[in-house]
Amino acid sequence: MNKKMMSEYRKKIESVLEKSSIPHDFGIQLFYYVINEIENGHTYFTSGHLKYHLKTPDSYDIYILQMLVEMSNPNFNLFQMGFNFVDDNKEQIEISVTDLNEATRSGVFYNPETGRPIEEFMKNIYPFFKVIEN
Amino acid sequence: MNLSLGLSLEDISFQNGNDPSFIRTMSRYACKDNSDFLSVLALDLEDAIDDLIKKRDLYNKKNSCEDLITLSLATFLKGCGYRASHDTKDGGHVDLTVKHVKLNVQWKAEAKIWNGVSYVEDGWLQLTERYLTGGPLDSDAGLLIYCFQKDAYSKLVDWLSHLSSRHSVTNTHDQNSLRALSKCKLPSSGTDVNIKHFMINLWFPTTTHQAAV
Repeated sequence: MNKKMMSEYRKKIESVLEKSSIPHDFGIQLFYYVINEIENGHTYFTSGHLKYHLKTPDSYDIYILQMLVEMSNPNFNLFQMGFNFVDDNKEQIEISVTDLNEATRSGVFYNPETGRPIEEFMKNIYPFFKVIEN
Repeated sequence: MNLSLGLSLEDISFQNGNDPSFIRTMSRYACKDNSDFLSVLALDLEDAIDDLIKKRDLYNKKNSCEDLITLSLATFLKGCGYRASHDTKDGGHVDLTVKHVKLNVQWKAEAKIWNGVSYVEDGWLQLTERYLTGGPLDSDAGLLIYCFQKDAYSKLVDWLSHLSSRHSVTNTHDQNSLRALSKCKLPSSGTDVNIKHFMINLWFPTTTHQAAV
């Protein structure tokens, strides 16, 4: 990542943190950790991955997620967010936003591979974050 | 939290006090194509309409023009992060145009105050003959009907009946009885388009007597 891009992202993250409840210093720490990981070739993140490496308390779980979501805002454009459904065999199946919204609207979600309706599907859907290649 | 997968949507909902708005924001940001965009916009538009209906005492047929009401919907959608505009020039002056901030996708709607089926038909013709091109990213639109009269449902039934008697359309009803979807061929392109009808109930009693009638 070149200096100009880095400087733009830094400005954007400061602007996000100004308006957010995320503790400022933590937000900056997470931002630099993510940038460093990207520099080292990591392209796929989850909030669990960052919690593990930053060794944060549970009370920071939501801040980690909020940071990742903010960096997926199309105006920020660092990550493309997606959603995985995790089935009974722990297999991860990517689902579309269209499928997620239909499930949210109707209250019913069908396993994309078996067609079986899934009870309490929100427990089995996890967001993930992929680095957008510029 | 699962240290590999992270927070599930249920965890996220719980941590946000079961407020669905954060997951909705995530779903807006995660849009990858036109289908995703239309699916999340459909939810946001219903929220915008709910907001409008809650404030219906501020509007009435005498002091509210279509533009003012549509502007209120556009303002709500802008607050959701869309590029929403009123009266955009695109084959005519489209009442409501909503675009995703990153994807090259948009949705158009024509608005009419309910004043009988012929007046609403003008809006239908504007959409199908002027505004829609029928391209893959321009085949869905909406007809917003602001109803200041009682029994909005019967008005929607009358309108759909009139529409199918004069145009070749296939109408389907929605789970919400004040919504319906029409599929038809666009005269210019010959391709299929989907037009959703939103009958928006803005009737509000101005006196106690009216409410009792």
